[in-house]
Amino acid sequence: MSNRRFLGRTTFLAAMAFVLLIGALAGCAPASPMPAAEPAAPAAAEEAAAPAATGETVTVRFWNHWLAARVELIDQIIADFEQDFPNIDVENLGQPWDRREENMFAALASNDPPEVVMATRAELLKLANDGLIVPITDMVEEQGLDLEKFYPAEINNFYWEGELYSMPMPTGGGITGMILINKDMFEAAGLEPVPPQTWQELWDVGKALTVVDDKGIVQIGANVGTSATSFFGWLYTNNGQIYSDDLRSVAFNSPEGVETLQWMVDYTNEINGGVQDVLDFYVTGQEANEAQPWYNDIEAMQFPNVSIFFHMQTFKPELQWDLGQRPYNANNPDAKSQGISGEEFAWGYVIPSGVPEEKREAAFEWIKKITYEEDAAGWFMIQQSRPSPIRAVNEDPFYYEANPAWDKVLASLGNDVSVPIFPEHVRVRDIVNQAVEAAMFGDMTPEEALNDAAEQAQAILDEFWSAQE
Amino acid sequence: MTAQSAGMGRAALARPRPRIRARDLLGFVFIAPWLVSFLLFDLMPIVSGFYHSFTNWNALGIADFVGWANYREALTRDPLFWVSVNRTLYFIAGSVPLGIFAAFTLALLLNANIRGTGFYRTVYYLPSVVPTVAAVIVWIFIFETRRGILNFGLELLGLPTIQWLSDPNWAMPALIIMSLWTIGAAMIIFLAGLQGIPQELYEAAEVDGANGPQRLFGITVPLMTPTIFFNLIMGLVAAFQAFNNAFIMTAGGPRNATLLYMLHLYNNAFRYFRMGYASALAVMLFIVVFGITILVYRSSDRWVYYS
Repeated sequence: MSNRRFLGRTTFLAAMAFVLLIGALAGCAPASPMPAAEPAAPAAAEEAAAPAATGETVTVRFWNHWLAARVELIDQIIADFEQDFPNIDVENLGQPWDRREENMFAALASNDPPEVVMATRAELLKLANDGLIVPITDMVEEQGLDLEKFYPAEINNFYWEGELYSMPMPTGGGITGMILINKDMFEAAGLEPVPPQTWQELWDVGKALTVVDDKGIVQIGANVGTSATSFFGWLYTNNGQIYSDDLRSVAFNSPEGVETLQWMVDYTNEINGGVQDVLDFYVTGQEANEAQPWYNDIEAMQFPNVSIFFHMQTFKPELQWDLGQRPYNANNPDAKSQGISGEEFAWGYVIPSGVPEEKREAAFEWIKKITYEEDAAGWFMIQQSRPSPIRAVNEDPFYYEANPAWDKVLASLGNDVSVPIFPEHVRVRDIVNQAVEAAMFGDMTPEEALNDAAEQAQAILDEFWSAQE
Repeated sequence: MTAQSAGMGRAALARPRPRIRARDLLGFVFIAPWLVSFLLFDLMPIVSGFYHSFTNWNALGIADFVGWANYREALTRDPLFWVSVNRTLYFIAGSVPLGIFAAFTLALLLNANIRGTGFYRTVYYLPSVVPTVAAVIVWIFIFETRRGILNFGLELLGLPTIQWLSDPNWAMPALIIMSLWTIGAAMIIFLAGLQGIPQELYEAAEVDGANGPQRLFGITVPLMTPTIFFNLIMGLVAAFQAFNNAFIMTAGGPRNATLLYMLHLYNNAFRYFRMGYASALAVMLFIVVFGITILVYRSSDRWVYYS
């Protein structure tokens, strides 16, 4: 008689189902938000109890993209914050830029999202519209915070349907409103080192400073851009708009829009040798690093955002530069120099809806620290020599000492307009990108390309508003 | 007939109840980690993706049933859908045959009895374990117009230089060339296959007066067809899902020249938060890859020799 022990099929299947169930539960369970060194990892809900009510430590995980030299600065703010709030523990979760959207998305989709997540304005509006982040309007009112201290164009970026979802840091403006020149290159070319003020002046100066050979661009005067972001920047210096004021229709294919794109195409073809040469020129220096043409004296002008001051300090402090307002179309009597705020990079800090209510108060305190408190949010900007969305901070004498063109930076911020966008704007921007490329590569005329894009974008707008209704 | 023997007869006639021995259970326990992982992280997402392809899910909240709308949009309204299909087929047509040919050729060379074979095998496999981002940065410099090594070679041959990454006509060939960077894994498989070919066959052929090419095409290639078949399937599946290089190096440009299908899917999923639509794209990709795999598998009767 065999002494082998047998297991019935039913028993086996039940055992496997049990194993799977345990696995599934383990997979779905929230990760312990407490640091490993903590004596025990209480359940999320218990652990999340309001700090004031229970005296327990609440962990606020801060999902952000302040990397490199900024990590240390953030850590200093955290240390300062934790002194004021000994029962709130802030974890600095600095995230790499690579696959930023995917990682943020995965973090939000988990059932244990970080308590505070850094997101662009376009993302914030999308998340707000879908009810995936919580408004902070009530918390701001309860604490009596004075939102007037921000530039209107900055704080206005973070409202959706009358509710406020974040306060700004850094500025969403100061992205497109300036032109930076390399004074040494101007002088070497026999030009007065003064930033051009109009499209027409830019054309002349750009032509004088650009060198193209049979392999492409050797030295560039200015790249007026080959993307939607560049187009939008120039559009507003020609008195154009992306959308109508009520956000019900697209407006970028207006006569001003067509004229703007035509000018960009003409400039790129006639001065820079065509879009292909321009793309090729920037192949190895797209990100902020010392390989960029700007840091190698082969780019005479550029249209930077305010982070450039920090990068210039890091990569080439000896660079001789000057600053002006972004050139406008002098042939259009209604046009003026102005930048746009909130179209692409206006950063906010949001509390995901998945964060337990008991933890939101702690999350808001941290958001307030890094956006509203001048000794933290303002200090962080000063350390990077970039302007703050808080007006008073920008009057700090340090700025005037560190940046000889500080008054021009502030003038640029003052000229910025907060561009109205809707939650599906990223899709529209990509559609306009396609149009700009189509015109640049000569597959369509600027008018055809923009009209085609407008038709697609309008369909998205209509679909969005009909879903809202 | 006794009652006992009658009972035994009935038992013998009855359908045997399937039983699992304890020692068999041990086997299941060993594969349980994989099984659990497969069910949770492969099968569940596949089923979930299929379901969500019929919704307007944004992956975080809303998921209304929209029927075939996502599929209709892809096939009739999304201008970039067919562009990405076209670009992906181009990539597959270039990278898969080239990859198999290059890996097979390398394996043949490394199968030769020469000094330092182990070293060469390691060197050729090494790129397969280099992180993608690092590899892409190296390749950007290789493709650079003025200082890149490829253009340097072209100039030596008296040929005009190419703007590899900014010319829409050359960006995809650049990606295909770069795909050769990771042929090390296929090469190792070919090498294992080559070493499994009985030496007597070559000796017999030599006795019969077969020369090198005759031995290669009369013995090596036919006996390697199962390995070629395996690498072909793996190569096809990988090429359909190619993403990293295009994402990091060209982001789909210039002028959509490298807008691979997975890149388009990624944009919809993670930039536009349109996970329902992205799921529909994923389901269509699955169906196409599955169909092509079946076709290739069926065709194997005609060209794959197992003995």
